[in-house]
Amino acid sequence: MRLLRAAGKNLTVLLFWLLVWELLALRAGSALLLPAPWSVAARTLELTGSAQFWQITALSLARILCGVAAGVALGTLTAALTARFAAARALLSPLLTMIKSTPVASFIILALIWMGRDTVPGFIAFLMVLPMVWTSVSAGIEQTDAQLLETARVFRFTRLKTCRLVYIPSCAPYFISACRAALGLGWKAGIAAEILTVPQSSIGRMLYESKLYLETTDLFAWTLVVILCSLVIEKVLMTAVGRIGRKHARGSAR
Amino acid sequence: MIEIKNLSAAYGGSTVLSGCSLTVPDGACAALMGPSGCGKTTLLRAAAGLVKPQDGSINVPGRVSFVFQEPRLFPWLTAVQNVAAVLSGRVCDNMDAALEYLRRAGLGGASDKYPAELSGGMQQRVSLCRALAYGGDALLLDEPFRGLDDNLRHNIAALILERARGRSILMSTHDGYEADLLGASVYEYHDKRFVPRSTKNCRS
Repeated sequence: MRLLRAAGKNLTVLLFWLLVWELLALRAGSALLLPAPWSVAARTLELTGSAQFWQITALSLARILCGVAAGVALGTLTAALTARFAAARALLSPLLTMIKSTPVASFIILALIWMGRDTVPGFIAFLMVLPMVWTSVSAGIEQTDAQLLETARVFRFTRLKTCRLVYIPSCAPYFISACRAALGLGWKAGIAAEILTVPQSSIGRMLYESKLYLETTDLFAWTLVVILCSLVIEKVLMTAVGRIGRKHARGSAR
Repeated sequence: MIEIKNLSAAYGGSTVLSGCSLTVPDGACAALMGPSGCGKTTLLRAAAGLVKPQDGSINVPGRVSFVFQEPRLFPWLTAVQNVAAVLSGRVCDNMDAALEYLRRAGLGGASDKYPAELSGGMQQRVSLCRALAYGGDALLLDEPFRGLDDNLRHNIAALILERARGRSILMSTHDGYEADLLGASVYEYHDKRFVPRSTKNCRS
């Protein structure tokens, strides 16, 4: 009953905004300026009917998600290194802070000089995700309960056991929220990189071409695809890591 | 055997123990008594190697098991997993042995609960089970009966005496009755040292 009510509420909100969009489109009076929601939906459906659409979407996803995954893996590893070794912290912290503060467009242009256009989006996603995951996981390691670490020491846990039973569960919430944010950021930065580097078979290229040929409906349709992909991958990630999250929530329920 | 000689140690920047000596032979139990903040926990922590003494020596051969004042359970592990975690090998391979300890402590029905779902007293018992399951050559108990009623104190004392047979036990308590439950020789705080109750009486 509560679920139904929530779904009804969400649907009402969605319908309200669709109505606002429709009214604005009517006022604009041209699909070139602002296409109507139904025409965007129709175009999106039309796109999904072609094999090329799935190929483009899959390639963009693969390209960018590989970068995100590499960023998450290396960000976590770097956090462990900087927490453990002061020298690593002194060496890597300024570099990661610098990456975090640099505008993504600068990196995209630089990356275009350094590497092939097909590699740039993944690399950009990687660069965006790496410092974000590093910051979050480092905070998780720092916040690990000193009393629990002392307990592990008293019971002579090996390093591996301490890592498995203390550090990893303690950092899990930080890691999960970092992954969630990283996915969103990495995906969007990756698409932005695709728009600037226009690799073959990419959502970014389709967005770029839509803009180039003033096909605003296509621009909206591909943007909708980007949003839907973002929602789906977030949902998949949350389902995959949900167990850890629930376990932690239970552990700190009181 | 726990052997402490001329120990000096500080807590919060001030010296709380000075020239403190104490011996607990194998199979014996000693109880430290004194006002809060006098250094009972500091002495236990020093014996466990968690506090570096300013002076003196501590000799505790082999492994040391510790029941902290706070239960210090891993919040993401169930009660039985918390106990199994200190046994050698993988947690999942030690569940039966861990469960046996919990049953003896009257926690058989709560073995699958997470610490946040247990009361303070129950958490304390899980912590005790964990220390007993770990074994070790010396058992250090920092106010182990905290939050337990009379009945539970009896049961837990019996469990400790059974499972820690032959080991040296050093405990801290505010209650002489708790020391009696474990048949402990009482050491009272006096002039930055812990001295046997009778000795102190003779001196004063």
